[in-house]
Amino acid sequence: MHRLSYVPLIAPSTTDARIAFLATVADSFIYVVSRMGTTGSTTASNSVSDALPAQIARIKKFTSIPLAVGFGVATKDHFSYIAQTDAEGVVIGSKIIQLVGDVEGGVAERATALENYCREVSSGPSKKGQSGDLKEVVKEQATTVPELAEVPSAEVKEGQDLEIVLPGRFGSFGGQYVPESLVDSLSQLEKAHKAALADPTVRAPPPSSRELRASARISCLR
Amino acid sequence: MPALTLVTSVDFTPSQFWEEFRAEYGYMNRPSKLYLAKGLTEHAGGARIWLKREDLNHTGSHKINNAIGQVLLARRLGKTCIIAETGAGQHGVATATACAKFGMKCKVYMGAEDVRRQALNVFRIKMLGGDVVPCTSGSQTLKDAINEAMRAWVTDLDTTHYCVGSAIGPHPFPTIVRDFQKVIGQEIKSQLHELKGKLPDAVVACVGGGSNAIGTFYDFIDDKSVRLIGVEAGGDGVETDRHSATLSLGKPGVLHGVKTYLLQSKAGQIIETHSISPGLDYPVGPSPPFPPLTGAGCQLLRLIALTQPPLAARNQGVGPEHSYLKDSGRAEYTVATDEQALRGFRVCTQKEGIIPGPSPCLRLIWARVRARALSLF
Repeated sequence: MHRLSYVPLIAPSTTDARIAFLATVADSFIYVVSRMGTTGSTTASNSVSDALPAQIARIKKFTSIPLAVGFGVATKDHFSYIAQTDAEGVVIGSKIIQLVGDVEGGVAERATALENYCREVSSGPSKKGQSGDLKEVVKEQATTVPELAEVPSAEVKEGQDLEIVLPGRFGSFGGQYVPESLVDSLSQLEKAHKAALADPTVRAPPPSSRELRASARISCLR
Repeated sequence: MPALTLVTSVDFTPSQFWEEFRAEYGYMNRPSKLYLAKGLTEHAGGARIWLKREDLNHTGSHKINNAIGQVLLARRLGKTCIIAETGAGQHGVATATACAKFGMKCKVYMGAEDVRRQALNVFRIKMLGGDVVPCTSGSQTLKDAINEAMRAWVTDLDTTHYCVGSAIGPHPFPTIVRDFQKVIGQEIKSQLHELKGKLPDAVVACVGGGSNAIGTFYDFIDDKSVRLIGVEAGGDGVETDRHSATLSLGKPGVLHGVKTYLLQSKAGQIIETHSISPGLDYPVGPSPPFPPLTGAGCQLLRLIALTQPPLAARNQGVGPEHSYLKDSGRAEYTVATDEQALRGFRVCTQKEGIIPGPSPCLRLIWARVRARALSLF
Protein backbone atom coordinates (compact mmCIF):
# COMPACT_ATOMS: atom_id res chain seq x y z
CA MET A 1 0.00 0.00 0.00
CA HIS A 2 2.36 2.67 1.20
CA ARG A 3 5.37 0.52 0.54
CA LEU A 4 6.77 1.14 4.01
CA SER A 5 9.37 -1.13 5.48
CA TYR A 6 9.88 -1.92 9.11
CA VAL A 7 13.55 -1.38 9.90
CA PRO A 8 14.59 -2.84 13.25
CA LEU A 9 17.47 -1.35 15.21
CA ILE A 10 20.14 -3.48 16.82
CA ALA A 11 22.24 -1.93 19.56
CA PRO A 12 25.48 -3.12 21.19
CA SER A 13 23.41 -4.27 24.17
CA THR A 14 20.96 -6.34 22.11
CA THR A 15 21.09 -9.99 23.09
CA ASP A 16 21.49 -12.83 20.62
CA ALA A 17 17.93 -13.98 21.25
CA ARG A 18 16.61 -10.54 20.45
CA ILE A 19 18.80 -10.27 17.33
CA ALA A 20 17.45 -13.58 16.13
CA PHE A 21 13.92 -12.29 16.58
CA LEU A 22 14.57 -8.91 14.96
CA ALA A 23 16.15 -10.62 11.97
CA THR A 24 12.83 -12.35 11.33
CA VAL A 25 10.88 -9.09 11.17
CA ALA A 26 13.36 -7.15 9.00
CA ASP A 27 12.28 -7.00 5.38
CA SER A 28 14.68 -4.49 3.81
CA PHE A 29 17.70 -3.83 6.01
CA ILE A 30 18.72 -3.68 9.65
CA TYR A 31 19.91 -0.49 11.26
CA VAL A 32 22.95 -1.24 13.41
CA VAL A 33 23.35 1.23 16.25
CA SER A 34 27.09 1.64 16.55
CA ARG A 35 27.14 2.71 20.16
CA MET A 36 24.92 3.35 23.16
CA GLY A 37 23.46 6.81 23.48
CA THR A 38 21.23 9.03 21.39
CA THR A 39 21.61 9.94 17.77
CA GLY A 40 23.63 13.02 16.92
CA SER A 41 24.64 13.52 20.51
CA THR A 42 28.39 13.06 20.11
CA THR A 43 30.84 15.61 18.86
CA ALA A 44 33.98 13.61 19.47
CA SER A 45 35.90 13.07 16.26
CA ASN A 46 36.06 9.33 16.52
CA SER A 47 32.90 8.10 18.11
CA VAL A 48 32.32 4.89 16.19
CA SER A 49 32.96 2.00 18.53
CA ASP A 50 36.02 -0.22 18.15
CA ALA A 51 33.73 -3.12 18.89
CA LEU A 52 31.76 -2.51 15.71
CA PRO A 53 33.38 -5.24 13.59
CA ALA A 54 32.61 -7.81 16.25
CA GLN A 55 29.07 -6.51 16.63
CA ILE A 56 28.49 -6.81 12.88
CA ALA A 57 29.94 -10.29 12.82
CA ARG A 58 27.61 -11.25 15.63
CA ILE A 59 24.57 -10.00 13.71
CA LYS A 60 25.73 -11.66 10.50
CA LYS A 61 25.49 -14.97 12.26
CA PHE A 62 21.74 -14.59 12.33
CA THR A 63 20.85 -12.98 9.04
CA SER A 64 21.91 -12.19 5.51
CA ILE A 65 19.77 -9.05 5.37
CA PRO A 66 21.90 -5.96 4.60
CA LEU A 67 23.20 -4.03 7.60
CA ALA A 68 23.47 -0.25 7.72
CA VAL A 69 25.49 1.34 10.51
CA GLY A 70 24.52 4.64 12.09
CA PHE A 71 24.80 6.75 15.29
CA GLY A 72 27.85 8.95 15.77
CA VAL A 73 28.80 8.73 12.09
CA ALA A 74 29.80 12.15 10.81
CA THR A 75 33.21 12.18 9.16
CA LYS A 76 35.05 10.62 6.31
CA ASP A 77 37.08 8.59 8.78
CA HIS A 78 33.93 7.11 10.27
CA PHE A 79 32.63 6.34 6.82
CA SER A 80 35.80 4.62 5.71
CA TYR A 81 36.01 2.67 8.91
CA ILE A 82 32.49 1.31 8.51
CA ALA A 83 33.03 0.71 4.81
CA GLN A 84 35.78 -1.71 5.65
CA THR A 85 33.62 -3.85 7.86
CA ASP A 86 31.10 -6.34 6.56
CA ALA A 87 28.30 -3.79 6.81
CA GLU A 88 26.49 -2.98 3.59
CA GLY A 89 25.53 0.60 4.34
CA VAL A 90 26.27 3.73 6.34
CA VAL A 91 23.61 6.02 7.83
CA ILE A 92 24.32 9.70 8.36
CA GLY A 93 21.41 11.69 9.73
CA SER A 94 22.01 14.29 12.39
CA LYS A 95 25.15 15.55 10.73
CA ILE A 96 23.30 16.28 7.51
CA ILE A 97 20.48 18.08 9.27
CA GLN A 98 23.03 20.13 11.13
CA LEU A 99 25.00 20.88 7.97
CA VAL A 100 21.97 22.02 6.02
CA GLY A 101 20.90 24.16 8.96
CA ASP A 102 24.30 25.78 9.35
CA VAL A 103 24.74 26.90 5.75
CA GLU A 104 24.02 30.55 5.08
CA GLY A 105 21.99 31.21 1.98
CA GLY A 106 19.18 29.70 0.00
CA VAL A 107 18.21 26.24 -1.13
CA ALA A 108 20.85 26.14 -3.83
CA GLU A 109 23.71 26.89 -1.43
CA ARG A 110 22.45 24.28 1.01
CA ALA A 111 22.13 21.69 -1.72
CA THR A 112 25.65 22.39 -2.91
CA ALA A 113 27.06 22.14 0.59
CA LEU A 114 25.25 18.85 1.07
CA GLU A 115 26.52 17.49 -2.20
CA ASN A 116 30.08 18.47 -1.37
CA TYR A 117 29.79 16.88 2.03
CA CYS A 118 28.45 13.61 0.64
CA ARG A 119 31.17 13.50 -1.98
CA GLU A 120 33.87 14.15 0.55
CA VAL A 121 32.60 11.64 3.07
CA SER A 122 32.12 8.84 0.61
CA SER A 123 35.23 9.38 -1.45
CA GLY A 124 37.33 7.20 0.79
CA PRO A 125 38.48 3.68 0.12
CA SER A 126 35.57 1.37 -0.44
CA LYS A 127 35.66 -2.19 0.72
CA LYS A 128 35.64 -3.52 -2.78
CA GLY A 129 39.15 -4.06 -4.03
CA GLN A 130 40.50 -3.26 -0.65
CA SER A 131 41.72 -5.81 1.78
CA GLY A 132 42.75 -3.76 4.77
CA ASP A 133 43.94 -5.08 8.07
CA LEU A 134 40.51 -4.54 9.46
CA LYS A 135 39.07 -7.51 7.66
CA GLU A 136 41.47 -9.74 9.48
CA VAL A 137 40.62 -8.13 12.74
CA VAL A 138 37.00 -8.82 12.04
CA LYS A 139 37.72 -12.44 11.36
CA GLU A 140 39.64 -12.79 14.55
CA GLN A 141 36.91 -11.22 16.60
CA ALA A 142 34.10 -13.17 15.06
CA THR A 143 33.65 -16.40 16.91
CA THR A 144 31.88 -18.05 14.02
CA VAL A 145 31.78 -17.44 10.32
CA PRO A 146 28.26 -16.39 9.37
CA GLU A 147 26.19 -19.54 9.12
CA LEU A 148 22.51 -18.84 8.79
CA ALA A 149 21.60 -22.43 9.24
CA GLU A 150 22.57 -22.13 12.89
CA VAL A 151 19.30 -20.48 13.71
CA PRO A 152 16.32 -22.27 12.25
CA SER A 153 13.53 -19.76 11.88
CA ALA A 154 10.94 -21.84 13.67
CA GLU A 155 13.09 -21.96 16.74
CA VAL A 156 13.56 -18.24 16.56
CA LYS A 157 9.84 -17.65 16.64
CA GLU A 158 9.46 -19.66 19.78
CA GLY A 159 12.65 -18.54 21.40
CA GLN A 160 12.01 -14.85 20.88
CA ASP A 161 12.32 -13.00 24.12
CA LEU A 162 8.95 -11.39 23.70
CA GLU A 163 7.43 -13.61 26.30
CA ILE A 164 5.26 -11.69 28.66
CA VAL A 165 6.80 -11.86 32.07
CA LEU A 166 4.50 -9.33 33.69
CA PRO A 167 1.47 -7.69 32.06
CA GLY A 168 2.83 -4.69 30.17
CA ARG A 169 -0.43 -2.86 29.70
CA PHE A 170 -3.33 -1.49 31.63
CA GLY A 171 -6.16 -1.78 29.12
CA SER A 172 -4.86 0.06 26.08
CA PHE A 173 -2.45 2.11 28.19
CA GLY A 174 1.09 1.43 29.29
CA GLY A 175 3.45 -0.46 27.04
CA GLN A 176 7.09 -0.01 26.21
CA TYR A 177 7.83 2.58 23.52
CA VAL A 178 11.59 2.63 23.87
CA PRO A 179 14.75 2.55 21.80
CA GLU A 180 15.99 -0.91 20.98
CA SER A 181 19.03 -0.41 23.19
CA LEU A 182 16.79 -0.36 26.28
CA VAL A 183 14.69 -3.40 25.48
CA ASP A 184 16.93 -6.02 27.00
CA SER A 185 17.64 -4.01 30.14
CA LEU A 186 13.95 -3.46 30.73
CA SER A 187 13.33 -7.12 30.18
CA GLN A 188 16.02 -7.99 32.71
CA LEU A 189 14.45 -5.60 35.20
CA GLU A 190 11.04 -7.11 34.57
CA LYS A 191 12.32 -10.59 35.27
CA ALA A 192 14.02 -9.47 38.46
CA HIS A 193 10.86 -7.80 39.64
CA LYS A 194 8.80 -10.83 38.81
CA ALA A 195 11.19 -12.97 40.81
CA ALA A 196 10.75 -10.60 43.72
CA LEU A 197 6.98 -10.83 43.39
CA ALA A 198 7.19 -14.59 43.26
CA ASP A 199 8.83 -14.49 46.64
CA PRO A 200 6.82 -16.88 48.80
CA THR A 201 6.63 -14.36 51.60
CA VAL A 202 4.63 -11.97 49.45
CA ARG A 203 1.66 -14.29 49.22
CA ALA A 204 1.12 -14.01 52.88
CA PRO A 205 -1.32 -11.22 53.70
CA PRO A 206 0.42 -8.03 54.72
CA PRO A 207 1.13 -8.04 58.42
CA SER A 208 -1.44 -6.20 60.48
CA SER A 209 -0.31 -3.07 62.20
CA ARG A 210 -0.54 -4.93 65.49
CA GLU A 211 1.97 -7.47 64.28
CA LEU A 212 4.12 -4.70 62.97
CA ARG A 213 3.99 -2.85 66.23
CA ALA A 214 4.95 -6.03 68.01
CA SER A 215 7.89 -6.58 65.71
CA ALA A 216 8.89 -2.95 66.14
CA ARG A 217 8.89 -3.46 69.91
CA ILE A 218 11.01 -6.52 69.52
CA SER A 219 13.54 -4.69 67.41
CA CYS A 220 13.60 -1.91 69.99
CA LEU A 221 14.37 -4.40 72.70
CA ARG A 222 17.22 -5.75 70.67
CA MET B 1 27.05 -6.31 25.34
CA PRO B 2 27.67 -5.34 28.92
CA ALA B 3 24.02 -5.56 29.92
CA LEU B 4 24.00 -8.92 28.25
CA THR B 5 26.72 -10.41 30.37
CA LEU B 6 24.88 -9.36 33.46
CA VAL B 7 21.66 -11.02 32.44
CA THR B 8 23.26 -14.39 32.61
CA SER B 9 24.88 -13.73 35.93
CA VAL B 10 21.77 -12.49 37.68
CA ASP B 11 19.98 -14.86 39.94
CA PHE B 12 16.29 -14.71 39.23
CA THR B 13 15.28 -17.39 41.61
CA PRO B 14 12.71 -16.22 44.06
CA SER B 15 14.06 -15.44 47.43
CA GLN B 16 13.01 -13.50 50.42
CA PHE B 17 12.66 -10.17 48.69
CA TRP B 18 9.70 -8.87 50.62
CA GLU B 19 11.24 -9.92 53.84
CA GLU B 20 14.26 -7.87 52.88
CA PHE B 21 11.98 -4.97 52.03
CA ARG B 22 10.03 -5.18 55.27
CA ALA B 23 13.22 -5.40 57.25
CA GLU B 24 13.68 -1.74 56.31
CA TYR B 25 10.31 -0.69 57.76
CA GLY B 26 11.96 0.57 60.91
CA TYR B 27 14.22 2.74 58.82
CA MET B 28 11.37 3.98 56.64
CA ASN B 29 9.14 4.51 59.68
CA ARG B 30 6.43 2.18 58.43
CA PRO B 31 3.66 1.55 58.96
CA SER B 32 2.72 5.20 58.76
CA LYS B 33 -0.11 6.30 61.02
CA LEU B 34 -3.72 6.52 60.03
CA TYR B 35 -4.96 9.50 61.93
CA LEU B 36 -8.50 10.75 62.51
CA ALA B 37 -8.43 14.45 61.70
CA LYS B 38 -11.02 15.73 64.15
CA GLY B 39 -10.58 19.39 63.36
CA LEU B 40 -10.94 18.84 59.66
CA THR B 41 -13.86 16.52 60.17
CA GLU B 42 -15.68 19.07 62.28
CA HIS B 43 -14.88 21.81 59.86
CA ALA B 44 -16.13 19.80 56.91
CA GLY B 45 -19.18 18.75 58.84
CA GLY B 46 -19.75 15.55 56.96
CA ALA B 47 -17.66 12.51 56.52
CA ARG B 48 -15.05 11.53 59.03
CA ILE B 49 -11.67 12.41 57.59
CA TRP B 50 -8.65 10.25 58.22
CA LEU B 51 -5.17 11.23 57.20
CA LYS B 52 -2.65 8.62 56.20
CA ARG B 53 0.53 10.21 57.40
CA GLU B 54 3.01 9.39 54.66
CA ASP B 55 4.58 12.75 55.42
CA LEU B 56 6.03 11.24 58.58
CA ASN B 57 8.02 8.64 56.67
CA HIS B 58 11.76 8.88 56.60
CA THR B 59 12.71 11.70 54.18
CA GLY B 60 9.23 13.12 54.57
CA SER B 61 7.28 11.46 51.83
CA HIS B 62 6.02 8.23 50.31
CA LYS B 63 8.96 8.34 47.89
CA ILE B 64 11.12 6.37 50.29
CA ASN B 65 8.94 3.25 49.75
CA ASN B 66 9.83 3.13 46.10
CA ALA B 67 13.44 4.25 46.50
CA ILE B 68 14.24 1.49 49.00
CA GLY B 69 12.40 -1.10 46.93
CA GLN B 70 14.18 -0.22 43.71
CA VAL B 71 17.61 0.03 45.29
CA LEU B 72 17.12 -3.46 46.73
CA LEU B 73 16.07 -4.64 43.28
CA ALA B 74 19.08 -2.96 41.67
CA ARG B 75 21.34 -4.64 44.16
CA ARG B 76 19.93 -8.01 43.09
CA LEU B 77 20.74 -7.09 39.51
CA GLY B 78 24.33 -6.44 40.48
CA LYS B 79 24.10 -2.71 39.73
CA THR B 80 26.38 -0.34 41.62
CA CYS B 81 25.12 3.00 40.43
CA ILE B 82 21.66 4.54 40.64
CA ILE B 83 20.36 7.39 38.58
CA ALA B 84 17.09 9.15 39.19
CA GLU B 85 15.12 12.13 38.02
CA THR B 86 13.45 14.52 40.38
CA GLY B 87 11.14 17.48 40.12
CA ALA B 88 10.52 18.93 43.53
CA GLY B 89 13.44 17.01 44.91
CA GLN B 90 11.53 14.53 47.07
CA HIS B 91 12.35 11.54 44.95
CA GLY B 92 15.91 12.78 44.58
CA VAL B 93 16.32 12.97 48.34
CA ALA B 94 14.69 9.57 48.88
CA THR B 95 16.93 7.97 46.26
CA ALA B 96 20.10 9.61 47.59
CA THR B 97 19.09 8.40 51.06
CA ALA B 98 18.58 4.81 49.94
CA CYS B 99 21.87 4.95 48.04
CA ALA B 100 23.73 6.22 51.09
CA LYS B 101 22.27 3.40 53.15
CA PHE B 102 23.12 0.67 50.65
CA GLY B 103 26.42 2.03 49.42
CA MET B 104 25.39 2.83 45.87
CA LYS B 105 26.63 5.68 43.71
CA CYS B 106 23.87 8.17 43.11
CA LYS B 107 23.27 10.68 40.37
CA VAL B 108 20.12 12.79 40.32
CA TYR B 109 18.93 14.56 37.18
CA MET B 110 17.03 17.72 37.88
CA GLY B 111 15.80 20.54 35.66
CA ALA B 112 17.96 23.63 36.08
CA GLU B 113 14.86 25.60 36.94
CA ASP B 114 14.00 23.10 39.67
CA VAL B 115 17.57 23.16 40.97
CA ARG B 116 17.07 26.86 41.50
CA ARG B 117 13.63 26.50 43.07
CA GLN B 118 14.50 23.53 45.26
CA ALA B 119 17.84 24.59 46.68
CA LEU B 120 17.24 22.89 50.01
CA ASN B 121 16.61 19.49 48.48
CA VAL B 122 19.61 19.91 46.20
CA PHE B 123 21.67 20.55 49.29
CA ARG B 124 20.25 17.45 50.97
CA ILE B 125 21.03 15.25 48.00
CA LYS B 126 24.61 16.50 47.96
CA MET B 127 25.04 15.98 51.69
CA LEU B 128 23.85 12.41 51.24
CA GLY B 129 26.66 11.90 48.75
CA GLY B 130 24.62 12.18 45.56
CA ASP B 131 25.52 14.17 42.47
CA VAL B 132 22.98 16.60 41.12
CA VAL B 133 23.01 17.07 37.36
CA PRO B 134 21.11 20.20 36.29
CA CYS B 135 19.33 19.75 32.95
CA THR B 136 19.21 22.82 30.77
CA SER B 137 17.15 21.54 27.87
CA GLY B 138 13.50 22.37 27.21
CA SER B 139 11.60 23.90 30.09
CA GLN B 140 14.38 22.82 32.49
CA THR B 141 11.96 20.95 34.70
CA LEU B 142 10.84 17.39 35.37
CA LYS B 143 10.12 16.18 31.86
CA ASP B 144 13.55 17.32 30.75
CA ALA B 145 15.16 15.64 33.73
CA ILE B 146 13.46 12.37 32.73
CA ASN B 147 14.74 12.78 29.17
CA GLU B 148 18.28 13.32 30.40
CA ALA B 149 18.14 10.46 32.88
CA MET B 150 16.94 8.09 30.14
CA ARG B 151 19.74 9.22 27.84
CA ALA B 152 22.30 8.76 30.56
CA TRP B 153 20.94 5.35 31.44
CA VAL B 154 21.27 4.08 27.87
CA THR B 155 24.98 4.79 27.90
CA ASP B 156 25.60 2.88 31.12
CA LEU B 157 23.21 0.00 31.26
CA ASP B 158 25.67 -2.49 32.64
CA THR B 159 26.36 -0.81 35.96
CA THR B 160 23.42 1.51 36.35
CA HIS B 161 19.82 1.21 37.43
CA TYR B 162 17.37 3.97 36.61
CA CYS B 163 15.21 4.46 39.68
CA VAL B 164 12.07 6.03 38.22
CA GLY B 165 10.26 8.09 40.83
CA SER B 166 6.64 7.87 39.80
CA ALA B 167 4.40 5.22 38.29
CA ILE B 168 5.34 6.41 34.81
CA GLY B 169 7.75 5.48 32.05
CA PRO B 170 7.95 2.32 29.97
CA HIS B 171 6.90 -1.07 31.27
CA PRO B 172 7.86 -2.43 33.80
CA PHE B 173 8.40 0.84 35.69
CA PRO B 174 4.74 1.70 36.35
CA THR B 175 4.24 -1.79 37.74
CA ILE B 176 7.39 -1.76 39.85
CA VAL B 177 6.64 1.62 41.38
CA ARG B 178 3.04 0.64 42.09
CA ASP B 179 4.14 -2.58 43.75
CA PHE B 180 6.42 -0.67 46.11
CA GLN B 181 3.78 1.97 46.84
CA LYS B 182 0.80 -0.33 47.31
CA VAL B 183 1.81 -0.72 50.92
CA ILE B 184 -0.01 2.60 51.49
CA GLY B 185 -3.41 1.19 50.53
CA GLN B 186 -2.75 -2.11 52.25
CA GLU B 187 -1.99 -0.32 55.49
CA ILE B 188 -5.00 1.97 55.23
CA LYS B 189 -7.19 -1.07 54.79
CA SER B 190 -5.82 -3.04 57.70
CA GLN B 191 -5.54 -0.02 59.99
CA LEU B 192 -9.08 1.13 59.37
CA HIS B 193 -10.29 -2.41 59.77
CA GLU B 194 -8.65 -2.60 63.17
CA LEU B 195 -9.97 0.78 64.22
CA LYS B 196 -13.45 0.72 62.72
CA GLY B 197 -13.97 -2.76 61.40
CA LYS B 198 -14.89 -1.57 57.95
CA LEU B 199 -13.75 -0.27 54.62
CA PRO B 200 -13.55 3.42 53.85
CA ASP B 201 -16.31 4.90 51.71
CA ALA B 202 -13.87 6.82 49.62
CA VAL B 203 -10.15 7.14 49.22
CA VAL B 204 -8.81 10.42 47.92
CA ALA B 205 -5.31 11.06 46.65
CA CYS B 206 -3.52 13.74 44.71
CA VAL B 207 -2.32 12.83 41.25
CA GLY B 208 0.68 14.18 39.41
CA GLY B 209 2.50 11.25 37.90
CA GLY B 210 0.37 9.28 40.31
CA SER B 211 2.62 7.06 42.42
CA ASN B 212 1.08 7.84 45.78
CA ALA B 213 -2.40 7.66 44.29
CA ILE B 214 -1.92 4.29 42.62
CA GLY B 215 -0.26 3.00 45.79
CA THR B 216 -3.30 4.15 47.75
CA PHE B 217 -5.93 2.92 45.29
CA TYR B 218 -4.45 -0.40 44.33
CA ASP B 219 -5.54 -2.51 47.26
CA PHE B 220 -9.09 -1.11 47.01
CA ILE B 221 -9.66 -1.69 43.31
CA ASP B 222 -11.57 -4.91 43.95
CA ASP B 223 -13.56 -3.38 46.80
CA LYS B 224 -16.24 -1.87 44.62
CA SER B 225 -17.93 -0.04 47.48
CA VAL B 226 -14.88 2.16 47.92
CA ARG B 227 -14.82 5.23 45.72
CA LEU B 228 -11.39 6.03 44.37
CA ILE B 229 -10.96 9.74 43.80
CA GLY B 230 -7.86 11.34 42.31
CA VAL B 231 -7.37 15.09 42.47
CA GLU B 232 -5.25 16.82 39.88
CA ALA B 233 -3.63 20.23 40.00
CA GLY B 234 -5.99 22.73 38.40
CA GLY B 235 -3.54 25.63 38.55
CA ASP B 236 -5.33 28.82 37.62
CA GLY B 237 -8.33 26.76 36.56
CA VAL B 238 -9.02 24.22 33.86
CA GLU B 239 -10.53 26.90 31.63
CA THR B 240 -7.11 28.57 31.51
CA ASP B 241 -3.97 27.12 29.99
CA ARG B 242 -2.13 27.09 33.30
CA HIS B 243 -2.88 23.76 34.98
CA SER B 244 -1.74 20.10 35.21
CA ALA B 245 -5.10 18.40 34.76
CA THR B 246 -3.70 15.62 32.63
CA LEU B 247 -6.46 13.09 33.16
CA SER B 248 -9.27 15.59 33.10
CA LEU B 249 -8.21 17.40 29.95
CA GLY B 250 -5.49 15.33 28.31
CA LYS B 251 -5.63 13.03 25.32
CA PRO B 252 -3.95 9.63 25.00
CA GLY B 253 -0.48 9.75 23.54
CA VAL B 254 3.02 8.43 24.08
CA LEU B 255 5.61 10.15 26.26
CA HIS B 256 8.70 8.80 27.97
CA GLY B 257 8.07 5.35 26.57
CA VAL B 258 4.51 4.83 27.71
CA LYS B 259 1.01 5.36 26.34
CA THR B 260 -1.13 7.37 28.69
CA TYR B 261 -3.13 10.59 29.02
CA LEU B 262 -1.03 13.62 28.16
CA LEU B 263 -1.44 17.34 27.93
CA GLN B 264 -0.65 17.92 24.31
CA SER B 265 -1.28 20.38 21.54
CA LYS B 266 -3.29 19.55 18.43
CA ALA B 267 -0.02 18.71 16.74
CA GLY B 268 0.80 16.25 19.52
CA GLN B 269 3.45 18.39 21.15
CA ILE B 270 3.65 18.32 24.93
CA ILE B 271 2.16 21.34 26.65
CA GLU B 272 3.94 22.74 29.67
CA THR B 273 1.90 22.36 32.82
CA HIS B 274 1.32 24.48 35.79
CA SER B 275 0.68 24.00 39.46
CA ILE B 276 1.68 25.73 42.63
CA SER B 277 3.13 22.45 43.69
CA PRO B 278 6.40 21.88 41.96
CA GLY B 279 5.71 18.18 42.12
CA LEU B 280 2.27 18.09 40.66
CA ASP B 281 3.00 19.64 37.35
CA TYR B 282 4.18 16.88 35.09
CA PRO B 283 4.41 18.79 32.19
CA VAL B 284 5.64 21.46 34.34
CA GLY B 285 5.20 25.10 34.01
CA PRO B 286 6.49 28.41 35.10
CA SER B 287 7.78 29.15 38.56
CA PRO B 288 5.17 28.45 41.16
CA PRO B 289 4.22 31.41 43.29
CA PHE B 290 4.40 29.21 46.35
CA PRO B 291 7.38 28.33 48.50
CA PRO B 292 8.79 24.94 47.65
CA LEU B 293 8.00 23.15 50.85
CA THR B 294 8.32 19.47 50.81
CA GLY B 295 5.07 18.02 51.42
CA ALA B 296 2.36 15.70 51.78
CA GLY B 297 -0.21 14.24 49.57
CA CYS B 298 -3.38 12.92 50.84
CA GLN B 299 -5.88 10.23 50.59
CA LEU B 300 -9.25 10.58 52.16
CA LEU B 301 -12.28 8.53 52.80
CA ARG B 302 -15.79 9.13 54.13
CA LEU B 303 -13.90 7.72 56.56
CA ILE B 304 -11.41 9.48 54.61
CA ALA B 305 -7.75 8.76 54.74
CA LEU B 306 -5.32 11.34 53.56
CA THR B 307 -1.89 10.10 52.76
CA GLN B 308 0.83 12.55 52.93
CA PRO B 309 3.06 11.74 50.13
CA PRO B 310 4.67 14.77 48.76
CA LEU B 311 4.51 16.01 45.42
CA ALA B 312 3.79 13.44 42.95
CA ALA B 313 5.90 13.56 39.88
CA ARG B 314 5.87 16.62 37.79
CA ASN B 315 4.83 14.77 34.80
CA GLN B 316 3.72 15.61 31.38
CA GLY B 317 1.51 12.67 31.65
CA VAL B 318 0.00 10.58 34.31
CA GLY B 319 0.79 6.96 35.13
CA PRO B 320 -0.82 4.55 32.64
CA GLU B 321 -2.74 2.65 35.29
CA HIS B 322 -4.60 5.83 36.21
CA SER B 323 -5.51 6.27 32.55
CA TYR B 324 -6.95 2.80 32.65
CA LEU B 325 -8.79 3.35 35.94
CA LYS B 326 -10.28 6.51 34.50
CA ASP B 327 -11.42 4.95 31.24
CA SER B 328 -12.81 1.89 32.97
CA GLY B 329 -14.71 4.15 35.34
CA ARG B 330 -13.29 2.48 38.45
CA ALA B 331 -11.67 5.68 39.69
CA GLU B 332 -12.86 9.24 39.25
CA TYR B 333 -10.57 12.17 38.71
CA THR B 334 -11.29 15.73 39.61
CA VAL B 335 -9.40 18.99 39.72
CA ALA B 336 -8.57 21.48 42.45
CA THR B 337 -7.29 24.92 41.53
CA ASP B 338 -4.40 26.69 43.22
CA GLU B 339 -6.85 28.83 45.12
CA GLN B 340 -8.75 25.83 46.41
CA ALA B 341 -5.49 24.17 47.35
CA LEU B 342 -4.43 27.20 49.34
CA ARG B 343 -7.75 27.26 51.13
CA GLY B 344 -7.27 23.61 51.93
CA PHE B 345 -3.80 24.36 53.16
CA ARG B 346 -5.15 26.98 55.54
CA VAL B 347 -7.89 24.75 56.84
CA CYS B 348 -5.52 21.88 57.46
CA THR B 349 -2.92 24.06 59.08
CA GLN B 350 -5.31 25.96 61.33
CA LYS B 351 -7.89 23.32 62.17
CA GLU B 352 -5.65 20.32 62.37
CA GLY B 353 -2.23 21.68 63.24
CA ILE B 354 -0.65 19.91 60.33
CA ILE B 355 1.27 21.89 57.78
CA PRO B 356 0.87 19.88 54.65
CA GLY B 357 3.11 19.98 51.67
CA PRO B 358 2.24 22.58 49.14
CA SER B 359 -0.25 21.29 46.80
CA PRO B 360 -0.92 17.65 46.98
CA CYS B 361 -2.22 17.43 50.40
CA LEU B 362 -3.83 20.71 50.09
CA ARG B 363 -5.77 20.22 47.08
CA LEU B 364 -6.85 16.96 48.43
CA ILE B 365 -7.93 18.35 51.63
CA TRP B 366 -9.67 21.15 49.93
CA ALA B 367 -11.14 18.79 47.45
CA ARG B 368 -12.39 16.81 50.38
CA VAL B 369 -14.03 19.77 51.92
CA ARG B 370 -15.44 20.78 48.63
CA ALA B 371 -16.64 17.30 47.98
CA ARG B 372 -18.78 17.49 51.04
CA ALA B 373 -20.21 20.79 49.92
CA LEU B 374 -21.13 19.13 46.67
CA SER B 375 -22.56 16.29 48.70
CA LEU B 376 -20.37 13.81 46.99
CA PHE B 377 -20.29 11.90 50.19
